[in-house]
Amino acid sequence: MACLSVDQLSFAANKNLPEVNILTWWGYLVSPWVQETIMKKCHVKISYDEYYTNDDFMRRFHQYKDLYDILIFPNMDYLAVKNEIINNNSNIYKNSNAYEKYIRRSYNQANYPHNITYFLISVNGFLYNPNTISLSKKDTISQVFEKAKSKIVILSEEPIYVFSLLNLNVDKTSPHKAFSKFSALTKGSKIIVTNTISNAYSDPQFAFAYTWPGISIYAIETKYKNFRFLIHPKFSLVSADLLAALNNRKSTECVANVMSSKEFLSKMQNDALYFSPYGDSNQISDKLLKQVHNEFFYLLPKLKWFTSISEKKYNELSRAWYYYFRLNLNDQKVK
Amino acid sequence: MKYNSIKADTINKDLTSFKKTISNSILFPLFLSIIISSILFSGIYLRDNAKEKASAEQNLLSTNKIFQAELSEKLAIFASSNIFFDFITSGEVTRKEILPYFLDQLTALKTSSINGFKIWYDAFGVKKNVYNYGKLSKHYATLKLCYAGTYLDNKYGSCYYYMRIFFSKNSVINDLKKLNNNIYVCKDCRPINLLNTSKLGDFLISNKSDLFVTLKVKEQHDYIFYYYLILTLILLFFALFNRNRIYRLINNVISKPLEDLVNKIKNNTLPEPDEEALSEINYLVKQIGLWNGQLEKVNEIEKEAAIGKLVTQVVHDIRSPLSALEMAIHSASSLPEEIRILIRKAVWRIHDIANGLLQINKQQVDQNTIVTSQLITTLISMIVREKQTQFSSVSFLEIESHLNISSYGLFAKIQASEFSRLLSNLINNAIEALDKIGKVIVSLENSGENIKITIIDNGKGIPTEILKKLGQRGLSYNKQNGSGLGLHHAKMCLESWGGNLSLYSTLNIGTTVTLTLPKAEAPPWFLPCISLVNEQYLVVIDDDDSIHEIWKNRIREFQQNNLFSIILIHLYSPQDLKLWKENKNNCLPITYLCDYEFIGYSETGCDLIINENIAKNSILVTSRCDDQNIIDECVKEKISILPKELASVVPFVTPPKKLLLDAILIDDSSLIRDAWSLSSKLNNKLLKTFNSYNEFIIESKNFSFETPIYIDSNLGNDIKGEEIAKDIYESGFKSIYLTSGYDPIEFPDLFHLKGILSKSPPWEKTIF
Repeated sequence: MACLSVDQLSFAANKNLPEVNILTWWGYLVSPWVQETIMKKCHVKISYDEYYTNDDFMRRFHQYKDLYDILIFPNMDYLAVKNEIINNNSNIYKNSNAYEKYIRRSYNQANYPHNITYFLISVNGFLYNPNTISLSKKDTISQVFEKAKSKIVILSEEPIYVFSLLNLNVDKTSPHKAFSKFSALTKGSKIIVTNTISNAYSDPQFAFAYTWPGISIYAIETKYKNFRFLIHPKFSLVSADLLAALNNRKSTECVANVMSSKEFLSKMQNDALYFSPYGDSNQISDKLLKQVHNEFFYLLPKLKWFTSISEKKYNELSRAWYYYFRLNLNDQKVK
Repeated sequence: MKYNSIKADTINKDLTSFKKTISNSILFPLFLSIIISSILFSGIYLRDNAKEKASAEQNLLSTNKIFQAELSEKLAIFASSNIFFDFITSGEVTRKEILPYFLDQLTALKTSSINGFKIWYDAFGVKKNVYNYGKLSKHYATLKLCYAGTYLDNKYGSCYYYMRIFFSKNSVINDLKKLNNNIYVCKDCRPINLLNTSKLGDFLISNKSDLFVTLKVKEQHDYIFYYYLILTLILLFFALFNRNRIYRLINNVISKPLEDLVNKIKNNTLPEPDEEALSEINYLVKQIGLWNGQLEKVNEIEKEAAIGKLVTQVVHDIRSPLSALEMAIHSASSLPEEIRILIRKAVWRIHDIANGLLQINKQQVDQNTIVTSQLITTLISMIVREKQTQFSSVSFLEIESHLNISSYGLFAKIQASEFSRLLSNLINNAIEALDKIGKVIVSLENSGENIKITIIDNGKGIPTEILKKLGQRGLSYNKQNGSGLGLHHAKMCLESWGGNLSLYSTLNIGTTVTLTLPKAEAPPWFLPCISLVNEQYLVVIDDDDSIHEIWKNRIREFQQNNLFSIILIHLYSPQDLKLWKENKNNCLPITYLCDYEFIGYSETGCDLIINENIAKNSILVTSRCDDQNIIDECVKEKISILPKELASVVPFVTPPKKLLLDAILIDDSSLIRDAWSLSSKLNNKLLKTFNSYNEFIIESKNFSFETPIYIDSNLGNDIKGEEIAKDIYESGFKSIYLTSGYDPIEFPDLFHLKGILSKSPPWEKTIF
């Protein structure tokens, strides 16, 4: 009789477990403890697809939506997918009662259905190389780009961030107007557009990236020790990732509950380097993350939130950005 | 008898010796030349053999590079596809669902060189397998898959995924053979590692195995030895054949008749001389006398020829220092370009004078055969500059040329060196009339069918009675050593070219000499004008600052008058142009103004234009437009030439104003076109409709690029509107909309489209 090792037994057992399929931002669920925790608590396996941009999310959602049980997606996309994900038979919304007070206020104001909770909270800011550029909270956006003339600037792939940088209302300003204003502002800088950690950080001409704390903290701690991350009271906007349970299967409800729980998200902060909506910093082991976390919650009452935009607006914005990106940004070179 | 037999023996011996000499004189040089050429051949063969080997190895490596580039291109297409990206970034559930589509995409890779591959994720301390395909082999390369967002970007992207591709050695060799027919497997050759590289095309390689192959490229010298051998044998055969033939001829023509004669003398059987033979001898004696007389005449001619030879020698001797001077100018990079041009042209003039001397000596002057169409403006500029330099030490003497836009591009059929000489003489006359103080103005104007050149001086003038006679042979005025030939010669030359010369003078006020010449058609290489459009680049590539300054001023003036936006780019070397082209940041139209000669570069302006593939929109701006080699090269490559001295007067032209309409509709349905036309009338809109793309393209030049264009997505005959839109976008129209009866979501997001609309006119319905 053949003998099986413990590992082989656990593999054989896991192989037959039901699977919950999740569509999520890249890098969130990659740590082995996530799979282990869920398997332990819900007796299911998770399989997850990663997207790298908002456009990528929208495309994958529309293309494969029937395959997914849970979505983790930016709050600004909510209106665009709302009609296809509402489900008030879920109980996961109850987790929101324990959110930090300003976060809870924002959640309540958004009036989300019962199957949607917050996942992680983020704030965009400036990751900069102090050897190339010096930035302060008092700088206007013109001053920031003036300092970055003939240097490399990295922007998120999300066109909505242009509006936050220019302090423009997305519903009241035409995308072409915003982008042409932005074009004038960035003239003379080399613009790179990406949501991931770029090799351009190593370039001596790198000035700053307008990005999220997760990317910034990871970059600082792994390679670019002298870089700084600045939350700007005027140009930094709060965004939240939402978690939506798309069906009433027990396995889905269980996984959604675990993933939106305080315990899970407080631990997740250390992996994702973003903030739990519960405002809990006790479990944060990373010194820099803790520092940014504290500063974020200190500034939170004054900071503006990204609002959700309609699918029509989203398409208009996306098309204009794509057009603009192809024709202008991609060609700009450092003089 | 004894005496005769000795003589006969001597003749026989001499004949044998003569035959041997002939034979030796053929065979000895032949064998000697074969030995020498064999030695030379061996030397060259050995040297070339080493070179060929290096070049064959280089050839093999280049083929490998091409193979890798083609493979990387296929892999890049594969890795850039949405399905590939979705597949690698998905979990097991989704991956299982989309696997058929992924495999379908994989077939597009179509390469037998890859046995299989393995894709995995490795980032943030986590490593997980994504997918394995095909067979593993011991030859592999692990490529980093770096993405910026969802785009493959090996420079700035993040590299979280890796793809190890496993090669089939035999298939790689076959692919290399397909790329280069001369490659063959050679077991004894030095092994070459095909994976000795850190990149596969644009992909970074994180690790790799070796892939040693023993291949060789066929070398040309393999056959050279046989060619040489065959050639040598053929030569040898001909030499021996000729030797035998000469032997036979000597026997037939000399030996045998001589032998017969000797025998007849021996036997005393010689015939008596007849009358005919005697008269023949007399004729020969007379003829020899005649030849002697002719020889004396030849001697006399030779004496004259010696004088000609002396002239030829002088011309020849002048040419060497002239060549040295030319070479010195070429390397005199520190001299300003203007000075270099002046010296060069002066040198050419001396060449012309020398050539003239030679022609006179050879008595070959034929004005009509050397009359060519010449650009008068440049000839005047050249002579005036020469004179300015010549008389620069005279403080109160001013020599000016007055050229303007109307004097641009005036050609006349003349002999250039003769015209330069006569103009130079006329200016000299004017200067002499000034007595070192005053002004000489040379102007050129377009006068209907003619060209009018005037040389005005404010010197002492010429009395009327003298003026009437001037121009006649032998008459001069106010010149100590004047022969009176200069003005007469000028008049004759001008008349022979269909023009004339007139003089007008007032005592103590000055003299005006007017030359007229019939206008000739400009040659095809000559640039008639520079065409400029709004928002375009004008790129000046010239190592001379002064020419940049001229263009700067001209463009500033042009922009003031036309409200055009011209981006003037100043580049100073071929290298600058290559860098600028690499870093150019948009697709605006470009006109290049390129110098011919760049100090410190062997690459000429023509080379640069051809190498950079910009002949279509380039103008060669050079002071060497009288160099026939340059002209021939430009005509061949269809490059227009602008003489550099005309940069300040070349006219700029702008395209005619184009129609700005509210809309252009391209739709094959007459119903839709009629509906739009009706709606445009009701809404007071300017509309133009077309049945097909071909109809539109005929008239497209008349419309402003700002005009919005609406294209039907289905134009019939399988013509897709979205495909046609790309061509229209490339031609300059940027507001292009697709009209379709289908849901816009059916169409991919295309950068050249501004939007996808319904079939209704835009002023009736908003953009989706």
